[in-house]
Amino acid sequence: MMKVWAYIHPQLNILCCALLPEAVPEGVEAVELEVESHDDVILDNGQIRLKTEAEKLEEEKQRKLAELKSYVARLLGQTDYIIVKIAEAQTLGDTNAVEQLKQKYAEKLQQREAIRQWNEQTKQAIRNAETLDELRSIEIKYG
Amino acid sequence: MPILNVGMVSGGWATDADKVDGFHASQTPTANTIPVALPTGKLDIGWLPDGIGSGRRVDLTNATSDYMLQVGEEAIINFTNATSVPLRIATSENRLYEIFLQFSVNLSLAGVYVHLNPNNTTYASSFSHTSMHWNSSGESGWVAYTASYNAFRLYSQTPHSYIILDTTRRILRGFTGYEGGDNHLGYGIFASKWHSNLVSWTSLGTFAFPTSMSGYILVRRLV
Repeated sequence: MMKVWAYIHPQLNILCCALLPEAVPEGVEAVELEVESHDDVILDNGQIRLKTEAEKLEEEKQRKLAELKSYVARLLGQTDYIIVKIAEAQTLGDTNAVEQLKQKYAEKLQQREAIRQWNEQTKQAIRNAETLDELRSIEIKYG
Repeated sequence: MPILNVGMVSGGWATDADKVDGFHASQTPTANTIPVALPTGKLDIGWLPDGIGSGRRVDLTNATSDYMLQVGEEAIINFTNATSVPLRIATSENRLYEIFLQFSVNLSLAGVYVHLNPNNTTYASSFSHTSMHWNSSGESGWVAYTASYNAFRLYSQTPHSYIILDTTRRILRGFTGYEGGDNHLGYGIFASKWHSNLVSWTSLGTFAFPTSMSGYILVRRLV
């Protein structure tokens, strides 16, 4: 936990958090708050307040889902060339080539399917998490 | 006022006639020796205390007010089990700093970041950030990007970082090497910009970490 001194900047009209009491501009009224992170302080309809646990949980879920999406995209990206080859053969109407490619890359295609299944399971676990600790314990790592 | 011991003393030439107050002179840095300028007119840098330029290193570990670094002067700030470290360095526009942020360990913490808060303050939605990574597993890609954050953002996890900080353009640029807890390592680059100049930048700022950390920060003023 850390202390911050939150205030609305008189010229910029934005929320500021001083990390040292002397960093508050002279003549400005600040609210002293105890926070885990300075991100916990928000300006809500002109009022300075701390985020609720529900708001923090929802924010963390969105962040974790974005992290998962990016991670899965990187994993699948390594074998995207196979999908492109199959799609090209399909576009040319070459069904023999499509089947040959599917056989040749059967193992890789199974791996892609497994990654997609793991992605769905992890996504669901993130959405179902009820506490921040539960959410933070979900590791975005395949295999 | 030193007196040059030249001349006849007690009926003979003094044995230390080539000394000043009993000390020899030399161009080579040596203990108990008077420095002599090189042909360039400058002293050998070895005559100066550790550091570059002015040769001064100041320890701002327990400073309670801001110190104005001179060009070439560097500051060291040690920290132990801290989540935030005020640099206690006074600044203004037209300055360029080199910063080494060195932690005693590298923790693998995804999705949380190290920040630098100019003026020891956060300013809502006033900073942009971009970062990318490459690692020894062969993965690469975005780490994060935003045009609306409340402080300079460095990098996720708690990596050792090298930073160039430009107070005129209000841009921080850097790179880092991070360890993942196994035999893999990663390399990351990051940049962050304070896209408002309506507030004067008078105090270099406070580093904020995602968890309690120990280590040291070296800040060298280049311009």
